[in-house]
Amino acid sequence: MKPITRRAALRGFGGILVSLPVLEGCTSFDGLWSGPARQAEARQVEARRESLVENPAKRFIALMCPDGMEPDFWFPTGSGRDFTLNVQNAPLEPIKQHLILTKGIANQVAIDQNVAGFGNGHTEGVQSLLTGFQNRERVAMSNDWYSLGGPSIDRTISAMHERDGYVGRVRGIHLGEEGVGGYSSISIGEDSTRADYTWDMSVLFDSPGSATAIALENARLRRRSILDGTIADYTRLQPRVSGEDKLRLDAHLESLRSIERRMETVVTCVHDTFPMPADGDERRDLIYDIITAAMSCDAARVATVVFHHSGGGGPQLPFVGVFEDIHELSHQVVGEPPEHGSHALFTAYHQWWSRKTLRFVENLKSIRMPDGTTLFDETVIFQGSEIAWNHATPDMPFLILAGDRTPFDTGRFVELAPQQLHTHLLVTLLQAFGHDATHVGDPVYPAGDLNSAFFKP
Amino acid sequence: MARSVRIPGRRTRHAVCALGFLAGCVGAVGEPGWSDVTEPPPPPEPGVMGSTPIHRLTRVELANTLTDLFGPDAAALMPPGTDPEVQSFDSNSAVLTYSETSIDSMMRLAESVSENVADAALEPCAGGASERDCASMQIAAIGPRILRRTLPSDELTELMLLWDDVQLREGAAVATRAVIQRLLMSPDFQYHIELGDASGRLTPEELASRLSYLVWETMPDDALFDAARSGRLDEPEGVAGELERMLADDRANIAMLRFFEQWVDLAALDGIVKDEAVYPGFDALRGPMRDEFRAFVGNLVENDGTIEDLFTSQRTYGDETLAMFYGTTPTGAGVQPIDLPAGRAGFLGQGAFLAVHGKANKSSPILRGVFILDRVLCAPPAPPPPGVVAMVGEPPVTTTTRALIESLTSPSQCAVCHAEINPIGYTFESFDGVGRARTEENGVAIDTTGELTTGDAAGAVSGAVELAGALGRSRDVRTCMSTQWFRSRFRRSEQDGDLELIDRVADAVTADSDRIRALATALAAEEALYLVHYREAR
Repeated sequence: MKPITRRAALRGFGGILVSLPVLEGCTSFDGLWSGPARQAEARQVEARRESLVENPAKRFIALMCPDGMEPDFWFPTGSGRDFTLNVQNAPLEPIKQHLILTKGIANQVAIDQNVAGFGNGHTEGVQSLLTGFQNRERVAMSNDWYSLGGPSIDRTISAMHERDGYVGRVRGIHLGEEGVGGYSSISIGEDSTRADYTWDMSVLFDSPGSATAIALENARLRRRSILDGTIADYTRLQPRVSGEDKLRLDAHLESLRSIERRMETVVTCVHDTFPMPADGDERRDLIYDIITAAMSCDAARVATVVFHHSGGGGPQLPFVGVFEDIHELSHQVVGEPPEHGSHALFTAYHQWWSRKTLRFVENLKSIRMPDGTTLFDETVIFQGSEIAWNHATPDMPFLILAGDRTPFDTGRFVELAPQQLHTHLLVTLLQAFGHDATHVGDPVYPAGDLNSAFFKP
Repeated sequence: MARSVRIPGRRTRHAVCALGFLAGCVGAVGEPGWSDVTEPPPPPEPGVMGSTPIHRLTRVELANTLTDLFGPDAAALMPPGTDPEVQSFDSNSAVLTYSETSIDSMMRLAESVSENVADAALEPCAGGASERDCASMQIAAIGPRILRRTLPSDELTELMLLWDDVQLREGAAVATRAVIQRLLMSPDFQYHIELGDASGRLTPEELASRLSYLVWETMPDDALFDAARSGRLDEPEGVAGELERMLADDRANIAMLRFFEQWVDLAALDGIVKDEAVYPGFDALRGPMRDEFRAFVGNLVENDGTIEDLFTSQRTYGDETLAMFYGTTPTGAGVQPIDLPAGRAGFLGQGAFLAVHGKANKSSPILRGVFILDRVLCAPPAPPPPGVVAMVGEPPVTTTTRALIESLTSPSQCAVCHAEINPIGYTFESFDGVGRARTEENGVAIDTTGELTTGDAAGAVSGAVELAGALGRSRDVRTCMSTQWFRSRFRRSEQDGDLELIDRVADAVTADSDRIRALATALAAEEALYLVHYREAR
């Protein structure tokens, strides 16, 4: 088994050598999917999930496209399979067959939070996007809001994978231009903790090298000994603290134990250092390249991407001629007449976004896995925003891109009766992975799913 | 869980503004900085002090600490990243937590540091000592520095068991590095651990760390450790002496400068985008503007400058590029003193503040007004309500930004708050979106008359210099500065029970000739400096 190398990854990304049967080195070391017993176990897991849904998906990627869209330029025309992409999504035309665009889904959780007087037009949509929970508690007068509940569905999918025996290098990849915060964090744990956005690639990848098997094993044993000692340090400290301190140390200990488990199943994923581009346009590509490389060697099966926080101080995109910040543009297009330049600029933002999504999907499709499928085939990408339009959250701009070996019936514009609960879509997304959930989020919202609208007949 | 807080005057302002906000407000929504200003907090609990739970080192503290332990190459091994900011500061304990990813990342950093740079920081061994004895000596020497506390013999014994285990497979050098890695993964290294004694007071070693991170943003040096371990920090005179020594160290100036950089959001200068068609050549100004702010504030901090100087000084520092930007004659090569031209005063008249608080293609009276209310007077206006429509587009070529803003914010539902924001911001209209002086816009003469709309210095002002003068004399500004300092150094938002302390620090600054550095020395007199800040159920 060879580790993935940068050269191999580039071959995969670029599709230059299309005759390559598989991307070299997509494998695990001493890993889950090696050995007859583990393979049999994996088949059993697969069979159990197949009993819930045909072709359960394997990889989940959530993208948050902040600050909503313009309905007149975002929703397609036509219906069902006979639809025409609107101008903001036009760049997705080459992958239209993998696409589901939706209309009629409301983020009722965010609406209700606003009605209750706790919303601000953004944070409630961000934090409910994948959780179905309102957020209330917060750090005083900051842009940092705590969610009242979790987990977000990326965490649920990750936990399901682990329950089924998969142990990646990380539970999930979380990348973006922003740190954690109420306007940017969509991946939220059951305990309301939020994922860090990290650019530390050493967590995901091994550096290229020529270490012998003995050296690798010694390093593994050494790290385990060190980690054991660290866990002992934290365990000793625990009885000496209480309250919030104890909660924090408990969480730290749980993470250490999770890391320890991962050490025992070492997924190797070798990659050169990714240089950090100064340019925001290239950094966006880098985010997707990192996810592609990591997923190609099964270092992770879940990822969330928040390009930029929502709300005030939004991003500027000088590389596509957008100097005004996106959040401000999102308001300008509400109040300005159609001929106003803000519409073209806001569309430029969405087209740029769509071009990036296209590139990402094409890269995923270009990578062949050991079983002959492509990396995209078992992948579901869910793209959402915290708002639809003008701080409101009906008709959310939700978009799904899914491979053929998932339950989704793609290549369609799915227009639903108005006011469908977005939590039902979250249930459908979970069930697409073979999860048996019937409800996501706050129990005040009814159970239900949108499987019939989205899954293959 | 962090509690919400009350800023003097803030709640009343929210109540008033909330009454006025209905759909249709224009102009303010979307201005960078608004996301820092959220809904009114719930009612405060009278008399309650805030709490500071166990929290991790900030990235700056981590970098400084690694540098002190192992040299600058260690800090260079840190992966890129940012800390979350609360109320403009990166030190708020409420959000300085670890996730599994960041713990994993710290583990790898610890390994990288121990493998690549730790050897040079170890004590040399005496000739003839066994490898194990040598390692034990080295770990006993560096362990207390990494942990920022005494290393008991039983812990050293346990560390040597790890050394033995690794040494068998990989040899002595790797074993010693493994122990260093283990130490770097300890809670005592990665967190600010303050357990205190039975009375809730910090132990001397904990106090040394608190003082050190408060004044230097890094670990204690040997002298401070010695002061703690010899009992000198048990006495007020000992603390005062150490504080005086620390404040004389350049690290204190750097840390205080960073406080001001965060306060004015200087880091945004690197990221803001200006429309090249409107402001050609702005990229070349970023560096000089940043250097100017640092030199200006740094000089004040180092040379007993006052808070009033911050607002009113006519002396700044810049290179030839900046001098030309200001329309003055360079006095020499490199960064030189510059006498600000008429119309500019203090940091509010400098390019950094004006460019960061300007739009991509125009000035922004709203951003500048909100900064004064929020950061300088600690009286932030309420955010615009959800659902507002209509925004400021391009100003028609026949008018001024001021006229446009006045028009768009004139509806009564907007005017409630904008009546406070705009008149402050208008005083800066003699500067465009990057801070270049101007006397007209689109052929119309600039009008800089305005009003400081709140606080003890409230009143009409004719422009930015008058505004700066009024702020420079204001007691409310000192109270706000003390509040900001408290947030940054006590690592939390203030509660009602903290307000007296904040007032006392402001008083102390005034009593100490208004010196900026008095912010730091005033804290030494506060009992809270010596207490564990989180005592729930202890």
